[in-house]
Amino acid sequence: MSRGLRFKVIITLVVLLGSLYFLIPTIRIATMSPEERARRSVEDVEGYDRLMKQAIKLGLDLSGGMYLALEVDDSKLKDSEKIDVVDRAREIIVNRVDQFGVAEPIVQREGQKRIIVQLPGLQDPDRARRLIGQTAMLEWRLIRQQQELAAVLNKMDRILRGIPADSLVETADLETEIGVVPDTAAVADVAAAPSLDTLLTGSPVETPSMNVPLQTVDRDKPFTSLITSVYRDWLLVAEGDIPAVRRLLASPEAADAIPGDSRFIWYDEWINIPEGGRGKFLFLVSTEEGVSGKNLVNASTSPNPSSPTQLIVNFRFNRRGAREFSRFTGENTGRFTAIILDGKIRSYPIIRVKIPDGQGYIEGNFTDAEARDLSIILRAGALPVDLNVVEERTVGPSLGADSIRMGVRAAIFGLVLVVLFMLVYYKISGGIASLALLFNLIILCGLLAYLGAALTLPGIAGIILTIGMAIDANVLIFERIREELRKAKTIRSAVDAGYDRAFTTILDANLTTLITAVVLWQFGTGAIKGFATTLSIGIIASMFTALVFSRMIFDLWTRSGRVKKLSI
Amino acid sequence: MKFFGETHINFASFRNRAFIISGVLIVAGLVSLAIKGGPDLSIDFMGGTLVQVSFKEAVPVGEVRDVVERAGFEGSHIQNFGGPNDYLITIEKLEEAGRASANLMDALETVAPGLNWRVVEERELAPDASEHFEGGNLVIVEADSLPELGGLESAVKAAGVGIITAAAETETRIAFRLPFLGIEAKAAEQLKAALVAAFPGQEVSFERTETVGPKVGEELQNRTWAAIIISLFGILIYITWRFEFKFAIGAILALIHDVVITLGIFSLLDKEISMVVVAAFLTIVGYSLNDTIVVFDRIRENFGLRRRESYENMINISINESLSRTVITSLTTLIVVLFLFFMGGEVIHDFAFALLIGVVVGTYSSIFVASPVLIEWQNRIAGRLKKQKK
Repeated sequence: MSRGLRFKVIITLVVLLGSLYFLIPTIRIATMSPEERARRSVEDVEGYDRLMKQAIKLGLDLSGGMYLALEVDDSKLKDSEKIDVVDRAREIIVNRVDQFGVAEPIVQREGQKRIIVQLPGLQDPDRARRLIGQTAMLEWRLIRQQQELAAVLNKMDRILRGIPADSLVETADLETEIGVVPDTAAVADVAAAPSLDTLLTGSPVETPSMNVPLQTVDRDKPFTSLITSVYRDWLLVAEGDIPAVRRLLASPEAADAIPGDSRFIWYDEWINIPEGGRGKFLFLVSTEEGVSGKNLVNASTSPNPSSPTQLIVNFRFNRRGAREFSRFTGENTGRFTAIILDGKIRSYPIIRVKIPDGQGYIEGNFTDAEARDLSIILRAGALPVDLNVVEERTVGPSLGADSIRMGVRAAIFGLVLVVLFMLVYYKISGGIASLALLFNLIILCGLLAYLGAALTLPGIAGIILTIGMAIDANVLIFERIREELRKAKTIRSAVDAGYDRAFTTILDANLTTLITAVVLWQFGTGAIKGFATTLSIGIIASMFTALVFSRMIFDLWTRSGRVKKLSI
Repeated sequence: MKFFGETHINFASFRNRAFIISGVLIVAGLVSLAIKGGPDLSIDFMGGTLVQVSFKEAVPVGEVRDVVERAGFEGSHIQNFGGPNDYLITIEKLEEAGRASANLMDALETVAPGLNWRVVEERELAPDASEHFEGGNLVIVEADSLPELGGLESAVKAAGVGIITAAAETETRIAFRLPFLGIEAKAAEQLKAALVAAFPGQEVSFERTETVGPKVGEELQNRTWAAIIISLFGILIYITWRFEFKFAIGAILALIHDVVITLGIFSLLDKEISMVVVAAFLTIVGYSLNDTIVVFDRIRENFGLRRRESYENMINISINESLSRTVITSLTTLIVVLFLFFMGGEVIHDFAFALLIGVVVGTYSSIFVASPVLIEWQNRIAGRLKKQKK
């Protein structure tokens, strides 16, 4: 074996074995049954994750999921705050996104002010949009106590008494909240929570029997009569009365009754009323910020020590925040606070004791998802900017599965027909070209896995196109060899001349195609990048398989000189 | 097996006829483009909303259209997607201010009722109004009295209406700047809800929802142009370096020829240009170039070998010599593209269609356009040189 030939054999083996090695994780995952996959993802989390990372990834159009492009709006910030705002926003989004539990989320900065978020497999785009896109303006404020609340209610009644009753109770159908399922939102009838040191208890600990009923309709009390009951420091309004109460609160007269340092805020969730029906809590909250969420450094969930099936939300402030929080909890022990994100009350825990070190937790009747969302919201408190969604794409899982099935089927049929054609037209040489094509596909898939590039639908199209075009280099060579054979050269010299002559053509033809593929990769987004990737790899792989691999086979075949007639 | 022995087709003499055929195709396409006011760009480039809906049982297109229009989306594009069970609904034109203010008023009435909210002024704002602004609507509203602005803004946002800024104009007036996309995403939700409500006995699923902001679309347009121009330049430089300038001109003219014809056919058939179709166009560029280069390579080689032949003859010989390769490669490529077209699925259909045209036109152009351009170039320059000598 000549030195050149030996070199080719070694290179070919290295490339082949390398590609196959990179493909092992993909093959292992592809051959697992769904049950096996489910079992391993639970039993061997790390190993399974590593396997998934090393396997060929599917783009969003194939796996299903959500793609979001967000633009950071820093127009409300000072120049000094603008410096790393996009990176910080990205970090926080990464933090929030990790909580969705989707495999392989991607959050990347793009250009000056954009952040791309890809959530494969995510099927609740609404929740994602809400969690990712919101401005996190987090603060803790005091909930006004019963005496103050009573004073405001009395004043409201007094002022509103002068206005004709029917104009007030006219409850035009304004209540248009959609999508709230009443039976999952019941938090009012919570069993009494255990009182632990350094504990903030979320949600009401009061039992419904402590209600102060206010059900008698009283024309002298136009406001209070609309209130179903008073929980410890806040009000419960029945569903039917909510529009009227909203209207009254928005009226100019209400502005006179409500002190300037307080504001009424509704709680978002529905509450089951013990006497039947449902309603919403209405809090009178201080307008003054008690503690800013900006200084919160961490929040997480952990099982409740006293009731392990439930989660609690732990949080920690930095030193400055701890000082603020220590003062706030010290001054207001025993009172309820509202945790407010973007003007919405997310939780209303009671302060049990002074918390000096900035570390505490919130306990309540959370579902696991609610607890996790609350911890995410707490952590997001440091994000000071608006994030606007500028592009959003959601693909359902069945569409992606369909696309893969059809793409793979088209590729296999195309491949089979091309191979048949080559066998008929070029006989054994056609078989060599087909082997080269198969090798090409192995290299292509191996490199995709190695580079961690995602396979998209246009990417599959790129592979299929490669099948058609990769034959080209071999065709060029074979036609040249046939020409040389017509000139009555020996087989060896015809093969040599064929390869040599075809070389520059193959190089020029492929390099120019590579130029467009690379430009496409540089400028394309998402799915198009996937196409450019497979096309570029395909071009390089086809040059390798034609010039090195199939040449090697020809050399081995014709080396002995015993071949009298070349099957081409 | 062999399709061709040694062929001696006089391709060069066909060139005038070929120029006429190409000319007719190009003009037809350009006329169609001119009548329709340019290519029909998808929401990728224009911004807008797309919803792909799938019904368990077949629904006639008329019924879908009725529902969509009753939901307030007149002028949206409804397209059958594969079968009578699947439809692609595109709200291409971005919502005018009317929908923006309607959503805003709904939200205001809900969060702050009884204040007699009314719209004073509304108009569209261009995307480039300021650097962080992606385009939207300005809506100025008036009420009997104003609640506290910060609280109102966050409450309206919480009600699902995106707000860029809210500023008090006077004691009773607020100017809201609303982003397009907030409206669009909301429009998609409204459309979905209307579809589910309209077919109560049916299983309705949404396979795809896409919403693209106008600024993003515009940027993508610019990037696509940049990609096209840069790749053409790259090719021009490479071919000039490896061959001669006139070869580069021939190749680029052939490429433009291919893309314009494909674009024209898309326009004639009312097909939309999406990002994926643009990728197909660039692939055509690559493919057609590949074909052209192979012929050029032969011409370059024959230059050295057959100095005594006339230029025209030499090109003829070169085309004939590489003919069987050209046909076989086109054939294998066509085989897989046909499978892609017929079996690749609806999502990739237009992409495969562009490739299909591209492969045929690209093969044709490398024989009948790129090389004849060389002859014409040579004849003109040779003619000019002769004149100069005289």
